[in-house]
Amino acid sequence: MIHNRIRELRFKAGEMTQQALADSVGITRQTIIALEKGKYYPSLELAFRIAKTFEMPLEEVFQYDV
Amino acid sequence: MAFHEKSAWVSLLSIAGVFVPYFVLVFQYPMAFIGLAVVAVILLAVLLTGFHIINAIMTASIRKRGDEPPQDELDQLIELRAAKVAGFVLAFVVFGWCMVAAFGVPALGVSALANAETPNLAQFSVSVFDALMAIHVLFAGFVASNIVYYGAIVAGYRKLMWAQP
Repeated sequence: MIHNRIRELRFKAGEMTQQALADSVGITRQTIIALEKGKYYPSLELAFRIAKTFEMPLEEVFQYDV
Repeated sequence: MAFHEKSAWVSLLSIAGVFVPYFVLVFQYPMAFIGLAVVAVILLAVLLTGFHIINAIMTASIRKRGDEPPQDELDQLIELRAAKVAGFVLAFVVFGWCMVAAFGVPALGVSALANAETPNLAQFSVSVFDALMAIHVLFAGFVASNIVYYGAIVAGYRKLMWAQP
């Protein structure tokens, strides 16, 4: 199971809106909502783009639990 | 609601709203299919074009960029899953129709000619009425697979939105 801290990191990044994050990584706001709810796992490329937007390593944004 | 979900809703409701009455009428009056088909196609074109014009005006990203939003990876995944389900429906309908045609028509011919003095299967023919009905059953299957396709896209988006975090 993959968890993420996207919502928490968005608020820490100057209360970035879902739309702003979506625009910066090139996806829709609905996909950001699905990611934050844990109902969708991003592709590797998207995961890297999100981590790059937050200027954090991938493992800080996404965590894998067995 | 995502742009592509809205588009799927309109396609689903338009196709169902236009073609369900079409098939109800055409199965009652098969010889009127040409006129009914023209009306159905025009109605569908008007509905879909009208929606896209209104949606383009209302959607901020379209107003800014002048083009509909591209599909992101989640949109593509939902569409691929819907296409898979619709493909099964279409394959089932086509295969079923072919089986009925391949075995049913000769069986009808044999039973129709059973009491003939000199039975000859080559003399068996299908009426225009029956042929039109058969074609419309196949077309109905195609429309049904389209309805399933757009319904599956809508269900895919709704499942995401209603999911608990």
